[in-house]
Amino acid sequence: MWAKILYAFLTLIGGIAYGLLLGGISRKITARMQNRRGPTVWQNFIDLWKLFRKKTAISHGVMFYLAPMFRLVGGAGTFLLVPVVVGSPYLSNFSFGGDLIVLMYFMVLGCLGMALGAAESGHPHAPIGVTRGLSQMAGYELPFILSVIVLMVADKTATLEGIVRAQQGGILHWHLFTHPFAAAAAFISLLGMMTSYPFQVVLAPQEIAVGPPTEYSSTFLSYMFSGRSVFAVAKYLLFMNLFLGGASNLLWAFVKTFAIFLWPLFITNVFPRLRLEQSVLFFWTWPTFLGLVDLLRIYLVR
Amino acid sequence: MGKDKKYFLDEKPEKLTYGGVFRRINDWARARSLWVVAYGTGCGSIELRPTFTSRFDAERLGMRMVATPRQADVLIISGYLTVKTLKRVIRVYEQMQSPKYVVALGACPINGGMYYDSYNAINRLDLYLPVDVWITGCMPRPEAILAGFKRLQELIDSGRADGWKKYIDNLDRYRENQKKIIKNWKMPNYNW
Amino acid sequence: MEVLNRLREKFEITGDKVQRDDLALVETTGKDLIPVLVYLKTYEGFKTLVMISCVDWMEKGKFQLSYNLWNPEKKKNIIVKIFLDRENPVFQTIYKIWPQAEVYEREIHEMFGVNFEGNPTQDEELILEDWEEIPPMRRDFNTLRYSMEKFGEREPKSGIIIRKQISEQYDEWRRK
Repeated sequence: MWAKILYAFLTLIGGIAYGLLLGGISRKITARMQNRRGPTVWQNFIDLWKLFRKKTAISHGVMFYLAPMFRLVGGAGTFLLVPVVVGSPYLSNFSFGGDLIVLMYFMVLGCLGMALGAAESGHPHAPIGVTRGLSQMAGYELPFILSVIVLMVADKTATLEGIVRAQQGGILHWHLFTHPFAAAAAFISLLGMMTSYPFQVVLAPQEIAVGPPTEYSSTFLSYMFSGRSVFAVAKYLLFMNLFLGGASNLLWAFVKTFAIFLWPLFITNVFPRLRLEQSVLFFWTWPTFLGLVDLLRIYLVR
Repeated sequence: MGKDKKYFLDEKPEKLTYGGVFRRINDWARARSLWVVAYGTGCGSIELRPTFTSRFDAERLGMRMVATPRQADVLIISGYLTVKTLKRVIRVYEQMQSPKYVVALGACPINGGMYYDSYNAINRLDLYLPVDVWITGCMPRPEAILAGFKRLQELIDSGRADGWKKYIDNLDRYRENQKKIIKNWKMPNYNW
Repeated sequence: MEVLNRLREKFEITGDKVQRDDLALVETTGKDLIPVLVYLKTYEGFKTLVMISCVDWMEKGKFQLSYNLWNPEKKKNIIVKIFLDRENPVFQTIYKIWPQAEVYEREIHEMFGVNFEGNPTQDEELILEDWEEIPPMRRDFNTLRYSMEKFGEREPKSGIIIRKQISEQYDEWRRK
């Protein structure tokens, strides 16, 4: 038991580092796409250290202090429920029976904590960002949950491990190919989860000054920063396990998560931004429709 | 104020005694991760756009524009500073968190520049805020701005960019100068 | 421009001049200004108020207000001028004809001290917060001295002496 906790902790540290590195790589790729040099890929580590060692002198109340911890715990908790390598004694984290449903609750935790804390900060831009974030969450959760339900019904299991085992035996057994519509719905909702560009109105640095975290500084921001990166890695791992057949060793996990990481990145760099009602309407029409199509297909095939 | 009282603190800020083992690493990281608050006071802010976008790309030095003063390290006084703006600049500066640096762009903050006889533009910035790096020119080109930032990085790296410490030490003197210009001081005494 | 002829028939025009093909200057009295503007807007197609400016004729003891209008169809400009008494500069607002005039009048009020009766926001501060001197754009206001006294200077001694001389010369010239 203690060994398992130790391994999970080490995996978590690795996950945070990997998330920060991915952030640096995304900044580099964005810079190269805009025909400039860009920072080094290690830039996010430097930023994190600098933020961590800055002074904090703001007092806004208890919830304000707790929100970054919520964010970090939400991200880390999600990460710890997703197995990196299924079946490995070291890298499967705490995935247990029925964990998909727990997981979907956990993914919301960070956002809710953030909402409470941002509301406490008293800055007028923060509630605007929170409203937008929660509305957008209501948008992308629907197609994502639909596609997860499709997989759960098809494989007759609610654990990630079972879903991964159902995809073994060649590339064509991946859910990406066996359930293409559900996969499409989930990958579109991934764009909303990552607040990548067509659905980026939540943060909107130009108009509402990065929205919810407006008032957060220094150490708080560093917690949120690491929480955000580990949450991103958790989402990539989750998608890898759901649709790309999991990973049999650490190298495959890196390759597959990197492939998933490239998808919102390239969309981000070439698209303009949608307004809130447009993005929510989009999530509730096309991806939801695709998810329903696959659900119907499974029902009829059975 | 009244209802908003809890969001302001009137006390004098305590000095940050950072250092010890990590001091060297801290300075190294601070020099390579300068976040600039996106706030333009005068004509110089037009030169910051090419500096931060594709043509001159200040991001390769690890710099970034951030939208709120809470998360920023560097405040750029870009060009002339009017009395009305000075009030806002002081607030922005005091809202930034402690290792913080001021870069003054152009001739106007140094001695008034071409606005030396203006009724509204201040003549010397260092009476009101501690300045770490001056960049001369009217306006300085992006190359000059980048050179100025390199200089700021050197100063931070060797631990000599301590304007924020001077501000805390001489707060009374700075405040006196500021109040000489801003007649109607409707702000808390020190706003964090 | 034939607009001038029609204006001369209808209103009291104290002076006019065709500056360029597309720019004419008209001088009228304060009593006739608003009728002229309304006439130009409704019947002659000068639909846009480009700006209102103010000039301080200190020697004559007058303020000049210029209303710059633009006809977007014929691409013509016309400037309507009036003179106000410098001691007691009061005039009526035109913000009901062109709403954008409100801000211009507010600025002129702040910079020159001209009073626009009926303008609801003219007493609010536009640029100068807590201003205590005479309005700064009036020519009897010595900006150099004000700047030196209020903001201090960094020049070497010689530069300060030269600046003081300039500001004294200005005062002397003003007294004449």
